[in-house]
Amino acid sequence: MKPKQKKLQEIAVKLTKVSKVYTVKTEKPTLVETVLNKKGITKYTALNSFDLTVLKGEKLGIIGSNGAGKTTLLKIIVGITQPQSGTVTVNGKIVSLINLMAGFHPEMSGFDNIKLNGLLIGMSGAEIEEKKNKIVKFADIGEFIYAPLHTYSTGMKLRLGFSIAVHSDPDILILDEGVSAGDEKFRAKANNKIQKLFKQNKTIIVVSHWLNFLKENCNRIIWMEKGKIKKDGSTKLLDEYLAFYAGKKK
Amino acid sequence: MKNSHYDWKNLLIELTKKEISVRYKKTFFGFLWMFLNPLSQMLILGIVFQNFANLSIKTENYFLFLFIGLIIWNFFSNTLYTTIPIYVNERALLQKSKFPREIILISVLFSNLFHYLVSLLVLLCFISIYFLFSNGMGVVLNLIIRTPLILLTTIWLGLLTTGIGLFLSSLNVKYRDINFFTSAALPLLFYASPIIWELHFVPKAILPILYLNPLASIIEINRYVFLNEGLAFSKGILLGLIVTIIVLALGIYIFEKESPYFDDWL
Repeated sequence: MKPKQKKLQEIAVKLTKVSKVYTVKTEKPTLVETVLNKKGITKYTALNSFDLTVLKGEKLGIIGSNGAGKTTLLKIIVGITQPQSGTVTVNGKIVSLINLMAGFHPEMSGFDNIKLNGLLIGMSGAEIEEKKNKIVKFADIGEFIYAPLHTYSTGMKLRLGFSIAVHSDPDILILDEGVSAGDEKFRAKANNKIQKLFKQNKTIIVVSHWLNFLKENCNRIIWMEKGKIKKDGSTKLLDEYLAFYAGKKK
Repeated sequence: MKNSHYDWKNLLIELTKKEISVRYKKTFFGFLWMFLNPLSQMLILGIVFQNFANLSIKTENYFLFLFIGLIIWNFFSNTLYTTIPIYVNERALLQKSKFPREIILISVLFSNLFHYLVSLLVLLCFISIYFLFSNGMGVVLNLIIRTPLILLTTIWLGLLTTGIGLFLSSLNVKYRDINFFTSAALPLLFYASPIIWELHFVPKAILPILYLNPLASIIEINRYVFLNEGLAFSKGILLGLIVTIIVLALGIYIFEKESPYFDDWL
């Protein structure tokens, strides 16, 4: 039984019957506990037979209350974790703007960190060599680029991480709410860059509670609830979503 | 999912370079620690066991004998101490992207392998000069002919450590007891391996049990090369190789099974 399939080239991300179950315990299980007592373990279903097809060039916004499975969905799309069942297909290079500062080493220089971080997010050695000056320029950290990273301020590290990620030329970009990279000046620059990416034919997936941002930038919204898609549609869903929760409060 | 677009080779090189360059940053002696460590261990153990312990049989060239065992042991134990908790310690890295997880472990192994090979090279030079003056050219030639065995045992040691590292580091993500267990077990293994003592001292009946530990064969072969000793335990080597293959296969199997889900436990 095969559903009508879009041409492979057009599909950026496709999830079919994806289920992700977490084992929840207040404490991490120890070997002895697992052997002696299996009762203390409960299962939590983060994604329940989840289907989603994202087309190339689509700007998808994901909304939903806390615990709806949004983060799990992103982790599975990025490939940080894998589902217990179902299939995940990703066509193209995927880069996440979440965890921008992860993977930096405090004792290494900015330059060396660019190399390491770029490789970690899937750039090739040659690509980094070619783009490293651009990355440094965009991050705007001046002479500090030769200094070890522990001398950097938090803002500088964020700027460097952001600069590497956006220069890696991803086909699919993962964002979470408001990239808060650095000071006002850089934030403006970063937003500018993100706007540019939105206008290109990139596939963008955003998880956000900042509904105005989604309204302005996305052309498709999915509303997740309890590990499933509750509704799938245009940005009109945002008003419905807002009304739903406003109604609930009253 | 495939990781086909990852620049595997460069990432491994960069991570290994990081491991090597970062380790001795901000230390006064820098790379000298590579030798100061086993050297100080050798002196302490050597003085204790040669002078204070009342042993009836003495080993020839005991300090050199010790040093060979110690650099092998240091490679093995340092790599395991670092790699077993590595996926827990590097959780931020795992949550960044889906790069091949084994690269982190292999980069630590390679950086330690680099240190190990440098130590071996220095030892080789030292022993050649020492033998040249005390035993003459014949012994040195013998040593040079046998050097390929050093590289073979290095690969063997690397594979053994990879197998144990993959196995235990994968399990440690779920069961943090593993780290405590190895901290307790490694010192025991130190005394159960022929590092400070010779296999000749062991009753024949126990020998097969000792050869289940591949380190025994690896250390013995290196002593055969460096100290121009006899080598008479082909069955032991075979046993050690079989154990290594089993450990490596088990390590890869568990790692393949567990590594896609590391993030769920971190």
